[in-house]
Amino acid sequence: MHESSSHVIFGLNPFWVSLVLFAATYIAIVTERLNRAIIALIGAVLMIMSGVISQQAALRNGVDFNTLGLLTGMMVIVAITRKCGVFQYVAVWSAKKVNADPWGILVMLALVTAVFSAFLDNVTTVLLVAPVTLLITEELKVDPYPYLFSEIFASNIGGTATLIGDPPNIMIGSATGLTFNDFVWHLTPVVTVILLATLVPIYFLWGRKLSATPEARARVMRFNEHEAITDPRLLKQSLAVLALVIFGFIFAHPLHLEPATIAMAGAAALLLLDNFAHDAERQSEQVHKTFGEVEWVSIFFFLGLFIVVYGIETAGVLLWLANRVVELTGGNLELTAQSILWVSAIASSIVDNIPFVATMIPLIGSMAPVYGGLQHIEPLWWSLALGACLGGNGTLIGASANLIVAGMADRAGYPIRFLPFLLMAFPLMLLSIGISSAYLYLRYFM
Amino acid sequence: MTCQTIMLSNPITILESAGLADAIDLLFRHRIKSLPVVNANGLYQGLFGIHTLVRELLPRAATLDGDARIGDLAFVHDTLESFKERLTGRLAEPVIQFADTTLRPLVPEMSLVETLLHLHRYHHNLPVVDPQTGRLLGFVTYWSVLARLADRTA
Repeated sequence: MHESSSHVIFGLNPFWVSLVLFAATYIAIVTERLNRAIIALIGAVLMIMSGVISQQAALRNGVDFNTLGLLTGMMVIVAITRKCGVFQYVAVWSAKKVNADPWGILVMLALVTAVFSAFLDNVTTVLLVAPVTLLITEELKVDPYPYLFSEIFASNIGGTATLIGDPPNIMIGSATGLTFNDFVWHLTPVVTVILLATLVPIYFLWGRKLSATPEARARVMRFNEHEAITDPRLLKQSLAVLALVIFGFIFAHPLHLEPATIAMAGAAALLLLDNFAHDAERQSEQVHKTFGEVEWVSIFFFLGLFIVVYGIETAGVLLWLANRVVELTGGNLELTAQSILWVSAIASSIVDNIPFVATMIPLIGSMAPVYGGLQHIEPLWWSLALGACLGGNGTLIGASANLIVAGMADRAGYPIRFLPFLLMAFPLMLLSIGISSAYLYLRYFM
Repeated sequence: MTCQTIMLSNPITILESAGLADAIDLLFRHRIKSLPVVNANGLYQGLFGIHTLVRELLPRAATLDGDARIGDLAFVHDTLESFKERLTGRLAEPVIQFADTTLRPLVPEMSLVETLLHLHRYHHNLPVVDPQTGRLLGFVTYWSVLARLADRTA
């Protein structure tokens, strides 16, 4: 537990040094005075410089390169795919499928957002769907608020459904070896129920009052979705690569491949297809631009955070915490699962779910011996995934996608305020956690 | 030589409280691209012009920039009536609501090369403002620059 204690600065106890550094990092992230990537990197560097962990151990055992590779690979794929206009195409197509009926459009755009979010990063999804939503609602002359609200919910709910939908799932999958299919098998059914259940109160709150004139609906029906496709060749290439990547995730286990390898292979293939026809100068320009669209702040945030959390893990803090949790729940797996679900949801609605999940993963892992080994604690991972991902819907600051939509709506002249959002969103988030709680009980403990 | 030497000293301006319709009328009547917006004391408040008017004609979602840029709008088939509709009902609103208030005005002592660089970068006619008082002193336009180059009156 204290393997590195002899190297810790001034001979201090690594348990306390790591705990102080971890707490300071967390507080700094929550206060949001500094960019979160800067904080995480400083925390990581101090964890190494103070001697709690060595650089070699931090990079070899602490940093989850599978998560980083998967995130980066998918970001590159999306950066190239979005250029062809396929996301606008799907949004317009779905609006026309329901004859531009305002409630029908809300449902369709929520479903489209959820499906996209299940396979792509949530922020990217809302960045692609929300502007088209604003365009459609403006043509319909209806208030965009219910649409944007539903899309925020749909992006966080949809992201919960798969291994690659939301960073917490990517981290859980990578740390535990749970596959894409495991996530689909255990989470997609309940996520589908939650999405449909969420639309019911939205209908009674806003949906039944939505209406548009025949002229306004005719304007939307005049949209030609085929003209949204700006590059048909790139569209075919992107869809083919995306299909292969999803195929790769599904068959990752028999293929003996990790998700990061599959995502990076997809990214490399699409970069090749997008560039091979151009001269060197144009290639350089395009590749530079594509890499520029990777969210390096998030990647470096993850990198630093993994090292900080590895510091408290190595120093024995997480094992100590895990024992306290087990004591509190009396070693009852069901109670532990339900506690993780609700605590994760409340915590994730207030603070960033990434540092929370990064801390919880080794903490839950430390509980395994009490429950008879890793194979017996699988429900705890699903509790964590459901709580951390769905909890993001509780407040406007609960998830990055929420803030992105709010910022965009504000710039377009339709502000989404913190308190009105909270009053509607928090009870709806609790509804989704209530459904998850019932699901955990029925599926794993009954 | 400074920015002061090439600016128009008595540009056409509009009061911040004037209506959008009056502002459009001034643009048409004088065939100009933009107008400095001032308050009753002659202090500079913002810039209104063809570029801000075009922004109002577009769907709001289309004017989002950065990551939220919607990209190509080829699939939208708005008619001239739709554009007119967007302005109807807003013509009486004060022009300041439509003005660009983020553009940094030039200062009279700015060097000539820097002034031209600003014209080149922002593609706007640019107001010249006294940094101490905020009073509008003049207006640098493409025509005022050309006029000085050709020794003619703008």
